[in-house]
Amino acid sequence: MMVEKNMNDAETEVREYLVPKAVVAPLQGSFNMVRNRLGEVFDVPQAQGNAAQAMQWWQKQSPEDQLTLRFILTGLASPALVNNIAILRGDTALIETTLVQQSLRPDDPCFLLGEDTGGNFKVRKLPSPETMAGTLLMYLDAGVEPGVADFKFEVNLNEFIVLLATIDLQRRSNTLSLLEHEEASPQLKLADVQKSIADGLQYPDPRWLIPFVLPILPAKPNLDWNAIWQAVYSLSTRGIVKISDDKTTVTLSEPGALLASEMERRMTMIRIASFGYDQQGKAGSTTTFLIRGESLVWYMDVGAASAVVAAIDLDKAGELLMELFKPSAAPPLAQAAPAAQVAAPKAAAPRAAPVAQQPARVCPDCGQPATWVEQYKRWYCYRCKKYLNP
Amino acid sequence: MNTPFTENERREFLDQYFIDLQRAEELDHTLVTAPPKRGSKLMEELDALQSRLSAARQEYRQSVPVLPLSRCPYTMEVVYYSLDPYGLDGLWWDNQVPIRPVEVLPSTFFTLNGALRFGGAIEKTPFPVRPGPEVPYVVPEVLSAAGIKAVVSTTAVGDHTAYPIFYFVEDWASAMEPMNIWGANYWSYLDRDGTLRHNEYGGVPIEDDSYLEESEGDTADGGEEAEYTVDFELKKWVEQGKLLWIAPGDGAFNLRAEVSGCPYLDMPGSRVFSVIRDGERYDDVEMI
Repeated sequence: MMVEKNMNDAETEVREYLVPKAVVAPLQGSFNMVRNRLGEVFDVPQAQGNAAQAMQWWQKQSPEDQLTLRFILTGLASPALVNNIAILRGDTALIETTLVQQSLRPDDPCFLLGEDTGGNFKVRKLPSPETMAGTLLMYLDAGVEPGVADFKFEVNLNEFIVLLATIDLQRRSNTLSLLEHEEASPQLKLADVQKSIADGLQYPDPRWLIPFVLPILPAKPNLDWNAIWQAVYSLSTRGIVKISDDKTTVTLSEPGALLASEMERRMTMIRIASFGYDQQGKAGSTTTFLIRGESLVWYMDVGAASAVVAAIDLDKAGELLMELFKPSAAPPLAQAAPAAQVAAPKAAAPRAAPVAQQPARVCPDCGQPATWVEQYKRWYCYRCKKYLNP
Repeated sequence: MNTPFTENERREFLDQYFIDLQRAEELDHTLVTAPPKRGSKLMEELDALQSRLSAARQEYRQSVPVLPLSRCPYTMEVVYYSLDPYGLDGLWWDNQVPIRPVEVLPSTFFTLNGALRFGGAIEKTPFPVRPGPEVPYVVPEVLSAAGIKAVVSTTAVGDHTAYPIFYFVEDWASAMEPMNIWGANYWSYLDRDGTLRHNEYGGVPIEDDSYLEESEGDTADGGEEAEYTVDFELKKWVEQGKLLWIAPGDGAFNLRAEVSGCPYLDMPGSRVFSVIRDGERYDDVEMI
């Protein structure tokens, strides 16, 4: 999906370009475009047989459009930073798009990339990532100035999953009690928490926290009963939940209840998975959630081993977004320019050594090349948006 | 013709273009010296030829290769620029009316200079070609400014070896007037808002009408132009980190900053700027 046309006035003015996926690789080849490793994340058919068709398509474009299309093609060939962004508005509209930046300067033009069902990329050029940050802030503002709270804690990933499952369970319990005109019970059975985790992992319904978070976790959680119990116990020692004396039920304590209440009445959830490379040429990613609750803006930063949860104000959210949209280094090249285009027959300097590469892996589900994410020591398929089994 | 054209396509195209151009010039001369009656066949032929030449130039502009030539040290983007790599007889090299597409460049692009070392027979052209001197150089008045860096690289143009020298500016707000683009008699760039800015070095940018206000006053220095010189001693510029370089044949366009191993220092070749006309090389008095 692409950014909705009615997102805001400025967004509707941005021209949308339809680029058939089949023309991308042939045109990049014809135009001697240099491809980097990060560019492999895009679902671009690599077949070269349709070069003539691609050229026909190109020659039909107006000279003005060709300028923008060249910008897009080079961005697809050599992005500096790729941000997969998902926005869930209420429980009804899921918007997914990808912000592609090809310059290390955070204020340079970039583009939003989506897909349609006809095999086309849908692309909108933006003056800078700040435009996208502004749009996301508008969602978080939601027309009602958020409050401020001093709320921050850090948990490990198991605790994070258990906490989200507990919040999801609390929400289901509240909904059920409303339907049945009964008072909602704050006590949740640990067995139900376990089932909430299992359901969240099994059913990809992004209206619930676990399925919304799951696609960008470094690995699919595999929590047995002991792991769940340890996570619940740890959360209780931090004052986020309380465990009953008989150790069969759990209740969200005041901070946990505030978080659950905010999540239950949330207006917007934003998920941003950023992929780039560092100065040493290592691939890395960060995963961030920004959630507009009833009164507060929530920030969740999910790392390799832990997650930070905090309430923040809009200014801080803006700073975090601009930090996310700031590339740190140019990714290493996957394919250098053809030697014939750069060779200097009269200047006999030695050629540069080829760029070292990880042994390649392809996704077993879609067959596309996977990308090594150093931070998690895992292969990731951008097309399927999941990590490959080790 | 393919986009970009192949070497053979280009050769056929240019052969026909030059035949048409010569015939058009002959007809033009004939019609000027001995004006015929209106509606003569010669006038019709000239009109048809001029239409064909105009269409051909447009076709060339669409089909001239846009090649990866450099990398910006500020944005780290690979920089693509149009170039006719098959020889100096391409219309891209016409110094008076260079046929080039609008370029898609990093927001930091300032200008492009270049040098060209002759490696074979000089092409016969019906137009002047100004490929620069035979060894790379820099413009000290520009490169010494804060926030400006240059990158020199190598590419092939027919049998010759060319050295594009790209200049990048960190902040356009503090920039001075660019030098004319390599081989052309103007400078131009597409700014970040998509506005094409261009002018001849020494003139006034067409997007900037502030000179009108200045001309109304009586300030003696209002229209003073920057005097640009050239410097072939590149070592100190590399040492200062102002001039970066890309090794010849490096398809990854890695930017290098070290003096050691830099192949662009103390290169052999003429330091005199060249102008080529009809297969002959002359010293160029216009320089940059």
